[in-house]
Amino acid sequence: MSEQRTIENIPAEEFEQIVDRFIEQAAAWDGALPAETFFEAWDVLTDEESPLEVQAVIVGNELLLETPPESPLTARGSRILLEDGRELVIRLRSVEPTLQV
Amino acid sequence: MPEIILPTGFTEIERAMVLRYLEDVAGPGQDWLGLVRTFNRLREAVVVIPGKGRRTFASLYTRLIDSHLTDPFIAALYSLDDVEQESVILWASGARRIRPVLEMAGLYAADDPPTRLLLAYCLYWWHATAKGYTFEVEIFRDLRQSGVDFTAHDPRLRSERFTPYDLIVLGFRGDVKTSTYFLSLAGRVLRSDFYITRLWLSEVRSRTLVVFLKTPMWDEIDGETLLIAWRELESCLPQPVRIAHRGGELVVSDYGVWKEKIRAYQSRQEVQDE
Repeated sequence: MSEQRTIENIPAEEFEQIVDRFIEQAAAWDGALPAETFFEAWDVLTDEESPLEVQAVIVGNELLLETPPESPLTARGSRILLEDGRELVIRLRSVEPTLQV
Repeated sequence: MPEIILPTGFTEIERAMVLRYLEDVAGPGQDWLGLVRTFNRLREAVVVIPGKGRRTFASLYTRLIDSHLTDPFIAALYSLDDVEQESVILWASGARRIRPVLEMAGLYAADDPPTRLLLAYCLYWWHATAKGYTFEVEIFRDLRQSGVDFTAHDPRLRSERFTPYDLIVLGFRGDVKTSTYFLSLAGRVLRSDFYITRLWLSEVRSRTLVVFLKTPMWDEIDGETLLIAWRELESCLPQPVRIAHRGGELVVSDYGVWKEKIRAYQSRQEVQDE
């Protein structure tokens, strides 16, 4: 039985050509899915609710929050903008090491 | 090259699916349910960059691609006469910049197979988000030309780009999404009152614009509709219908019919206000 073709096991040159063709084809495609594909997938995916993701990086003494581009959350610096217009601010504080007895 | 740590249990089937996506993005044989799950899983893939630490695919996309390409792309959309046609070259130009950006950052080389997944991930999200904004600008322009009274966020402004909804009509919150982008967000609760999207109708082989509405908005502008299974949708459009969704119901209306009803409602309100 032959090995399944995957993104990782095809030759480098062939992969580069596939990427070039993808860009040509995807540029002209508007992303409209067939109605039956859309509804079948939607039915399943809506039952798989995923948590909202915020990534945090500490640069020097500052906390920088980031959200993926598709996220409904907006993060700016150490602040997250909530839907009702309020902001959630996360402050870093240093903690003195606890004396171990 | 960096080490790439894929999500636990990432399979050969998923690797094959990503390749099929690149080989024939718009083809009829794509498993979109599998693709959306796979690319959502890849958000958590980690790149270990020597001397710099660990970053997820999602974080790298935000920093290297979205932060550089998306704002100029959206700004350029507003200067186009024919947004759908002219944006094709614009989108391709952005897509062609992704590979060199990753190469310059030492994160992609064709002969380092694991890094191909990062390139595929970036191309997938560039297509989902950039085509999504293109569709949004097309719809905003069409609604203005059609005389529908609405307020919309301005995605050219970073402070407004990520608002939890795209526009307000009759006080109801709405979103404009391509159907592929819509699916990518489907694991979230539908918080808006209506969604405008574009679907492909296989039987008649043509595209159509539809609006999904929660019942309070539909009740405000119209009223009774027929309850159907979604498989019957294509044969019922443009007639507005109701479909079952997550224990509740959504109204699905042809976009043109929806616009007519909104305009008629707004005209009645103007007369009442005079």
